[in-house]
Amino acid sequence: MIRRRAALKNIGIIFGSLTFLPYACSYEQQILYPNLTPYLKSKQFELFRLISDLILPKDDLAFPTNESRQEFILTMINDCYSESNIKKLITSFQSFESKIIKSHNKSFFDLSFEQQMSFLNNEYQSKSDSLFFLDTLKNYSILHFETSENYMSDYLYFEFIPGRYEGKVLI
Amino acid sequence: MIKNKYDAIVVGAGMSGGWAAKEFCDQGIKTLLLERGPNVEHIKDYPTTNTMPWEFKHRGRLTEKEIRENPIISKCYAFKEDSKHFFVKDDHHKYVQKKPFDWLRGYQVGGKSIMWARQVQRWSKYDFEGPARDGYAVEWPIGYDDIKDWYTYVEKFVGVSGNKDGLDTLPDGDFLKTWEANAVEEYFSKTIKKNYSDRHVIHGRAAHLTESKPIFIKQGRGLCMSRTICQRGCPLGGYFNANSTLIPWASKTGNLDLKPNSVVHSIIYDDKKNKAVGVRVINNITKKIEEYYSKVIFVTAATLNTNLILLNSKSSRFPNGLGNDNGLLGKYIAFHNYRGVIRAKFEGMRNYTVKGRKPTSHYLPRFRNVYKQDTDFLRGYAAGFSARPERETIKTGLGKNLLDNILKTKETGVWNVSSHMMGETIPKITNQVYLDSEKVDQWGIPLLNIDVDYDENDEKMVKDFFEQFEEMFTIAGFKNIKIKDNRKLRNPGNDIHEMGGVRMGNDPKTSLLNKWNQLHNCKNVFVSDGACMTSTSTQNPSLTFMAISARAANYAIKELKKNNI
Repeated sequence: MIRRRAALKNIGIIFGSLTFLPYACSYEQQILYPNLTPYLKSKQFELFRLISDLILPKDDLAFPTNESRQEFILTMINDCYSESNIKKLITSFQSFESKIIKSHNKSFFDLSFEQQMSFLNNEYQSKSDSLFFLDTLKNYSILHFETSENYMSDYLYFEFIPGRYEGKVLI
Repeated sequence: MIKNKYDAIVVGAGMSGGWAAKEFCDQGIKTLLLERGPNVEHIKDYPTTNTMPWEFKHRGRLTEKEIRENPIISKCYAFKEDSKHFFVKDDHHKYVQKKPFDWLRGYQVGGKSIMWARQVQRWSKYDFEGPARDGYAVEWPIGYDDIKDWYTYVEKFVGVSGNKDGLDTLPDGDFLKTWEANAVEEYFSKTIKKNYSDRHVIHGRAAHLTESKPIFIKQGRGLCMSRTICQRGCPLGGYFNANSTLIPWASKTGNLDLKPNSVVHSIIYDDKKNKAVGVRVINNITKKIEEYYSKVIFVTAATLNTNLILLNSKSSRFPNGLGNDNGLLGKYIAFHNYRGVIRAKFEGMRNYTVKGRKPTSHYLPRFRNVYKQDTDFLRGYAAGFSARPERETIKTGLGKNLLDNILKTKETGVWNVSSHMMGETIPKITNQVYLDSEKVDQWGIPLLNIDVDYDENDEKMVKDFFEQFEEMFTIAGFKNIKIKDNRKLRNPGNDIHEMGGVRMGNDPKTSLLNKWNQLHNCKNVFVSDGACMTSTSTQNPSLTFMAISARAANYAIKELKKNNI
C-alpha cells in the first residue's frame, strides 16, 4: 500500500514537472536574455538557431565550443546590442517571418532544406528588410566559429603562450 | 588600536609610490603605503590571466550596458572584457569636465602599472632643456646628468629590453636583449636611415624580461613568454608592474605596512611645527576617518589625484592648498597628443611572415625642433611604428560555401603598417584643475574640476605628423595610405599621460617643488609622480616618474637621517 502511494506520488511529480517544463524553459530564457524575451517566443529562439545553422553549418565534433552557437548569438544580441538595435533586429526578423508566410504559407521550420536555403539566398540577393536580422546571425555565427579553440589553433595558429617572436620567417 | 606612527608615509601604491616605498623599506625606514583601492596580490588577484579567448562570454567585447554606463573609461584601448576590473568606472569617482577630458584611472594596489603599455624610453638632455630654450613653462631644475644614473638604477631592477642605438635624442639604457625586428620593421628602419640623417626607426624599449638575471630571480619573476595579454596581470612576472616587483620586495624587508582601501582626504599640516605631520584618511570599508603620522610624506597618488589631495590640504598657513603660496598649484597641466594615426599597406617582403608575438613595436624618437627651432610649432612628437602580416578570411556566401571560405583563411603576403603620434603639449596656466566649491564625491571630498584642452600648437603638430609620415611612408613604397585625426575620440587625458600641476622649478614664485621634489614651502612633503613634471616631452613617462621617485626617496632618506626634515 505504501509502495502504491509512493508510486502515485512519483507519477504526480513527473507529470507536474512535464506540465511545468515549457514554462521553465521560458523562465530560463527570461533570465538569460531579458532584453529579447519581451519580443520573442521560445519557438522564435529556435528559429534563430535553425537559421544560424543554415547560414554557417555546424560541426560540433571538429569545432567544439563551450556554449552552443544559439546561446552565444542570443547572449551577444542581448548584452551587446543597444535598445534601438534590438528593435531594429526585431523589425527585420518580423519582416523575415511575414515574407515566409507570404511566399510559402507555412512556417520556415516546415520548409525543405532546399527551400530554406533558397529563401535565405533570395533574401540576401534582394537586400531585403530582413538583411539586418540575417547579417546579425551571420556575423555572430562567424565570430563564434572563428573563436572556437580548434579554429584558432588549427587555422589561425593561435598559441596562448608562444614563448617567442620570430620576425623574419621565410614562407 | 590603530598603529599610526611611521617614519614615512607614501600616498598611492602605483609605480611612483611603489618605488618610494621600496627605497624607504630597503634602507630601514618604517613605511606606511596607502592605497585608495583594494589590494591586488601578484598572481592571486589576476582573475583572467589564464582565460582562453574562447572562454570569454563576449569574446573580449564590452556589453552595451558597460559602454552606456561608462562613456569615458570605455574609450580606453585596454578597457575590455579581460581587464575591465582594473579600471575605475565612470560613476565610482566623478569629476567635473569644464572641457572634455578623459580621466582614465586604476584604483588598486599597483595602480595603472598592471595595465600599462610598458614602453620605457629615457628623456635626453634636449627634453629637459626644452622649456628654458623655447621659453615656455619654467626651466627644469634638473637635467639629464642629474637623472641618468637613476634611470640605470631603475632599469636594472625593472628589466628593460632594448637595443643600444647610440642616439643623443634617446639615450641608451641598461638593456636586456631586444625583441627581433620583423622584415618590414627592418626594411622601414633602413629606408628611413638612407633618406634622412635625423630620423631613426628603432626597437621600442619595453619593460619585459628577455633575459634572466639574479635580481629578477630574487624578485621571483620569470621570462616574458610573449603572451601579449599583459593588461590582465602576468603570472610569470614577465613584464614589470608594482605588484610583482616593488611591493613584495618592500614587504619582505619587514618595514612596510600596506593599507589598501585608504582614501587620502588631505595632508595634516601643523602650524606650530611648520611642517606636515601626517595624513587624514577615509577608510573605504568603514567610512571612518583615520589619521596616520610620519616625519616625511610622499604624495604619489597619480597626477590629478596628487593635485586634488594637495588642493584639499588646507590649513591656516596654506588656505589654498598645501605649499600653494604662489597660487599655481593645479595649473600648467599638460599631456601627450595621441590624435594622429596613419595606416598603409606594403606589398614588399611577401616572402616573409612572423611566428609568435612580441609585446612591443618600433619607435621613432622626436626629430622635430630637437637641435633648433625649425617649424612653426613648438617642440615635436615621437611615433610608434608597427608592421603585421595581413590575414584574409573571405566571409561571403551561405551554408557550406561560407564554411569553405572561412576554412581557407590565409595570409595574403601584404603587410599592414601603421604609426601613431605621441606629441608634446605645452603646459599653460589655463590648462588647470581646481576643487569644486559645491560638489563632493562619495567620500565627502570636493570634486575635481578639470579644465584642459588642445591648442593651436597641437593642431599644427598633428598636421605636421601627417605630412612627414605620408612622406616617409611614400618613400618606403607603402600604398593605400590613410590618415586619421582622432580628435573626437581622444580627448586630452585619453593618452593616460597627464602631467603637471605641482611642477618642479628653481624659483618658489613660479613652481611648487624644488629639484629634490620637496614642496618649496613644506620640505617634508615630496611629490614625485606625474604631477611634478615641468614639461612632458614625448616619451612614455613612467620610466622618468620611477627614476625621479627613486632619486627623491633617497634624498629624503638622507635628510631624515640628518634630522633635516
